[in-house]
Amino acid sequence: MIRVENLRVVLAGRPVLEGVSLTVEAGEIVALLGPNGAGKSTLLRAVAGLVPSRGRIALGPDGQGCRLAFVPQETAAPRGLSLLEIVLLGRLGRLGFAVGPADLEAAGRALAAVGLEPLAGREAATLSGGQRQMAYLAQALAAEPEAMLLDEPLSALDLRHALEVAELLRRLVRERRLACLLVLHDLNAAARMADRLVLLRDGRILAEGPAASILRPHNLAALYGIEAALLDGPDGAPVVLPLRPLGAGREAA
Amino acid sequence: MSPAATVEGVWRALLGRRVAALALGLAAVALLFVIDLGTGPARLSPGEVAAALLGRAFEPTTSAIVWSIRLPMAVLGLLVGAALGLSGAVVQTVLANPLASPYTLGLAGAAGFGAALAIVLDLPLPVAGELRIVLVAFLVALFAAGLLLLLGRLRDGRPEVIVLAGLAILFLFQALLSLLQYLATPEALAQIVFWLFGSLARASWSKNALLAVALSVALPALLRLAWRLSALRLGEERAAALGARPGALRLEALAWVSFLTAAAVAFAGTIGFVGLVAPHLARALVGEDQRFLLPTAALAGAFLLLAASIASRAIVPGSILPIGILTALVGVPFLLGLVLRRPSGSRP
Ligand SMILES: Nc1ncnc2c1ncn2[C@@H]1O[C@H](COP(=O)(O)OP(=O)(O)OP(=O)(O)O)[C@@H](O)[C@H]1O
Ligand SMILES: [Mg+2]
Repeated sequence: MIRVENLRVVLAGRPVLEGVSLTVEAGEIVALLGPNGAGKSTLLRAVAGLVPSRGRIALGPDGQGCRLAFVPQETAAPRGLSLLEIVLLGRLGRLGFAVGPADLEAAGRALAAVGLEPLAGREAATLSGGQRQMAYLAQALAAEPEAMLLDEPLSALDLRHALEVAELLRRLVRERRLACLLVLHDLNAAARMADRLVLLRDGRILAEGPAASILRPHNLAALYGIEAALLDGPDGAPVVLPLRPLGAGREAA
Repeated sequence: MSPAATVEGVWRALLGRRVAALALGLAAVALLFVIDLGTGPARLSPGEVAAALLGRAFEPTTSAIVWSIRLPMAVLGLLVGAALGLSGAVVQTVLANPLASPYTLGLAGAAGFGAALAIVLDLPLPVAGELRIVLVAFLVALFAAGLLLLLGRLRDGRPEVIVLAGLAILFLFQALLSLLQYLATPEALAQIVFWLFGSLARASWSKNALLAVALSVALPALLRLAWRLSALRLGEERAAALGARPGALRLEALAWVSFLTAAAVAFAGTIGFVGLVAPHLARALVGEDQRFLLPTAALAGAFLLLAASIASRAIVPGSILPIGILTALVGVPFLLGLVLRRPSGSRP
C-alpha cells in the first residue's frame, strides 16, 4: 500500500507539489495524469524518497515500509552492461558478491514476463528504445516488489507491446497484491488498465476517481486545456478523442 | 528450455568470457614481469630469470641482479601500476567521466608539493632520507584528499563539485610547488624535478611492502562496493532508486582511491597516463560489471607500467629513463587503438 498525506515538495525555491494526498491499496493500479511539468515525476520521486518532501509518506500494509521499485521516465542504458546484468541490478539490495541461483531465477522470470529473454546476453545499449523501456520494467520486476512506481512505462512501446505490458501489470498487481502508481499520458490506456485516475495540475490534485466519472470534458479542459469528445468504448470504459486546444484557456493560464 | 535455464546459460557464458579476459590479463602481466626482470645492462633470458627467482641461478651475480636490483623495481612497477589502474577505473565510474583519472582529484599535485617540501626544508621528522620524502608526500596528499572529500560532502558528493574541487586542489598545490622550486637551491631543484618525473628506481622492499598492504586493503574494500558502482553506471536517479545511495558511495569509493593514489604517488612520483588508459583497456575486455572491471583495470595498469619500465631500459641501453616520461609514450598507442576500435561497437 502507498499512502501519501498532504505532501509538499519545494525544488529550487519553487513549490512543485502542494497538499497532495492519495492512497494506492494493495492489488490496485492508480494512474497519475496531467500536463507536462505538472509534477507527476516529482510525486513519484518523493514517494521513492529521492527528493526531500514535507507531509507523510507511508508504505506497506502497516505503513512501516515495503519493497518498492521505482522505474524513472528516461530509458538510457550505458555501454558495457548486458541486458541480464541490468535486470540483475534490480536486486541490488539482495545481491551478494557472486550472483546466486535465486537472483538468476528472478531475473529470468522478469525477462520472460516482458518477452526479452532471447536478448538476455545482448549489450543493453544496443537495444531499441522500447526494448530498453521493457528492460527497466523487468529490472523492477526482478526486485519482486510489493509496491511499484512507474513513470510513463508505455511511452516508447508499440501498440501490441503496450497492450501486453498493460495486461502483464494488471495480472501481476492482482496476483501478487502489488500497489502500483503509474504516470500515463495515454488517457485511453489509463482508463483501461487503472482502477482509479488521479489528475494532477500545477502540483495539486484536480480530481480523482474511476475513469468513467473522471474522464469528462470539463476535467480535460481544466487539466490539459483541450476540447475532447468522449465516446462509449466497446468494453464500457470511455474513449477520449482529443479535438483541439482551447486557445483562450491556454493563454489565460 | 525454461527461462531460468536459458538465462543461466547466458550468465555462464558471460562469466566465462570475463574470467577468460581476467586470466589473459594475468598471463600478460606475468609475461611482462619476467621480461622486465631480464631487461637491463645484463640481458637475462626468461629461463635464467626463472632459475634465479627459484634460487637455482648458475652464477651468484645473476641472482644478485635479479633479487636485489631488478625485483624490487619490477614489484614496485607492478604495485604502482595496479594502484593507478584500479584508482582510475573507480574515479571514471564514480565521476561518470571517461576523461577522469586519479590525477583529476589533484592528489598528484599535492604529493609533488609534499615531496618538494621535504627536499627543500629540513623538517623535524623521525625518519630520514628517502622515506622522509615519501612520508611528507603521502601526508600532504592525504590532507588534500581530506579537503576534497570535505568539499564533496558539503554538496552531497555531486560529481561536478568533486571535479572542480580536484582542479582547485591541483592548481593550488602546483602554485605552491612552483613557489618552492623558485626558492630552492639548484641542487634541490634538480632533485625536485627528478622526483616529479616519476621513477621506479627508488624501489625498496619496505616501500613495496607498504604499498602491497595498501593495495590489499583497498581492493577488497572497493570490490565490496562493486554492485553499487555498477548501478551507478545507470545514472544518478536510477542508482538512487535501486538503493545504491550515490552520494555516500561516491565519497566512500573516493576515500579509498585517494588513499591508494597518495601511496602510489608518494612512492613512485607522478606517473601519468596509466590511470587514464588502463580502465579503458579493461572496459574493452570485460565491460562495466565492476566486479571484473576493477581487478582487470589493476592488471591493465600493471601491464602498462611494466611495458613502460621495459621500454625505459631498452630505448637507451645502459641507462634508465624516468618511467614517468615513457608511460605516455607507451600508453598513447593503446589509447588510439581503443579510439579506433570503438565505432564497430563493443561487447560486454
Ligand atoms: N530538480 C529540479 N529543480 C527545479 N525544478 C524542478 C526540478 N525537477 C522538476 N522541476 C520542476 O518541477 C515541475 C514538475 O516537474 P516534473 O518532472 O515532476 O513534471 P512531470 O509532470 O513529470 O512532467 P512530464 O510530463 O513532462 O514528465 C516542473 O516545472 C519542473 O520544471
Ligand atoms: Mg515526468
